[in-house]
Amino acid sequence: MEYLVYIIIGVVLIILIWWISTSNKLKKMTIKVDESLSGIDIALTKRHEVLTKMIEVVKGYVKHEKETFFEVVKLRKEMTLSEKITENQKMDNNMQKINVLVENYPDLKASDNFMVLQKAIIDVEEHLQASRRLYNSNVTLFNDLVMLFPSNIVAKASKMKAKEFFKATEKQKEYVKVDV
Amino acid sequence: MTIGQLKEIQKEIIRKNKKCNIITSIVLCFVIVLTIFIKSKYGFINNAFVLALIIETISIILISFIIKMCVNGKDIAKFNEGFKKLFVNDALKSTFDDLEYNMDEGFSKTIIDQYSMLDTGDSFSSNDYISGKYKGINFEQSDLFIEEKRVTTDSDGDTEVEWIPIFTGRYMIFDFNKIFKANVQVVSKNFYSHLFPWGKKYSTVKMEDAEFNKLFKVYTSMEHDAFYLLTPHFIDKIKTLYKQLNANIMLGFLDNRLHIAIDNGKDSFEYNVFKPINEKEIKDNIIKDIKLITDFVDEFNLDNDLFKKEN
Repeated sequence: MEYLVYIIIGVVLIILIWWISTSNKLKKMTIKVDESLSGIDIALTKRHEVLTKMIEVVKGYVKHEKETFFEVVKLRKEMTLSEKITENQKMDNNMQKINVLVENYPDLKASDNFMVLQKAIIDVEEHLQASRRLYNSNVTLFNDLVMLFPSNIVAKASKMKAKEFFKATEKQKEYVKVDV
Repeated sequence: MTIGQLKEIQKEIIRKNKKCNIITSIVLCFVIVLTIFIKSKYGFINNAFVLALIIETISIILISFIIKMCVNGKDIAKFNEGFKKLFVNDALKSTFDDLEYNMDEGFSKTIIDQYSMLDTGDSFSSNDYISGKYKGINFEQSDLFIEEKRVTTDSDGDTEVEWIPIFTGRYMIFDFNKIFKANVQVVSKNFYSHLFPWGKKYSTVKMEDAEFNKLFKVYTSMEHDAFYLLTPHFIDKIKTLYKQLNANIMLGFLDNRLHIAIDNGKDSFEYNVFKPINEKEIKDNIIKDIKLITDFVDEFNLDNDLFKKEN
């Protein structure tokens, strides 16, 4: 009888330790996901800044073109992930318009100012890709914990849910291949 | 020096070597016969006698080797110098700009220690230092030989010292085309782990490529930079090169330069002095050794300056 009590206490202790460590693991992963999401925010802001400068330069060259209408991108604090993806897609569209316009204006393509910005946007794109990949990698690890047995029991009890991935568009991937 | 002169030196080395071998054989036979004669006349042939015979044989072979080195040492050094001047230097000059080649010197232990990319072990030597430019990219490289001293003590308290080679290969440094803040190191998993002090200092990162994660460990002080530097394209190239080289590799990103260590067990730009001189074979081997440098620039597109900020 005494042994049985010890066994029960031992099992309860093991479960308790496992529960605490899994809970800590989940909390750490949540922090990591949040950190990597803020990395995306920084990269998006940088992209927006460079893109805005590019648009200004392009507008200076092609004043009379109809295509100079660019989508308005609004980045603000406390945006949801889907809102961020939408704003990023708007930036993709603007970038594509710039690429089309540049092809028709060789002077613009050859201008020093534009070339510097084009290099900058490629680097910013690379940073955004890195942030996105890091975020998605952390989300994968987090979602595995949330969805797979037995850690999903702790996740459910802590009301944690699987997180959304930051999807890259095909257009975004193309920018890295831009020839200068 | 001409190929003819090189062949003459080689002939001389082989001639002296043969002479040494004949003398050693005669001396060895004489000593063995003499030992048997003495032992059969004055004592029995027992285990001590067999042991004495073995010691005598080993001593004579060792002495013969030392004599060979004394007799041929200068000629071998002359041959190696001639070989490198004649074949290696020309091949390097035709491939690289601003070439500096020093066949006797390499990276110093202090320099490699400063980078902290590779542990320099208990015995360190380096040669074949090359620096230059390929496609406008600055690089430097050297052969490295690192050994570790292992002391074992048996139950009787006797200690034995062993020198274990832990790295024999090339160390290269290239200018890198991206600007990064954190240090990142990629190490193939079969590499001797003691060589990498970063493993204790930095955290490991898992990339999204399962095959890459199976083959390599990534250490970094900032995860974002690991993902920034190791793009999916770059990861594919590392995997391909790793499979092609069939050797343990380390890639380190430090101070905007790419460090590469290849433990292929080879002493590059060397030639076996006793092997007949075959110009085509020699040139092919040198091209292979040079290609190891150029492949990294070509495959990793290091000459692509899209990410470099204008000065």
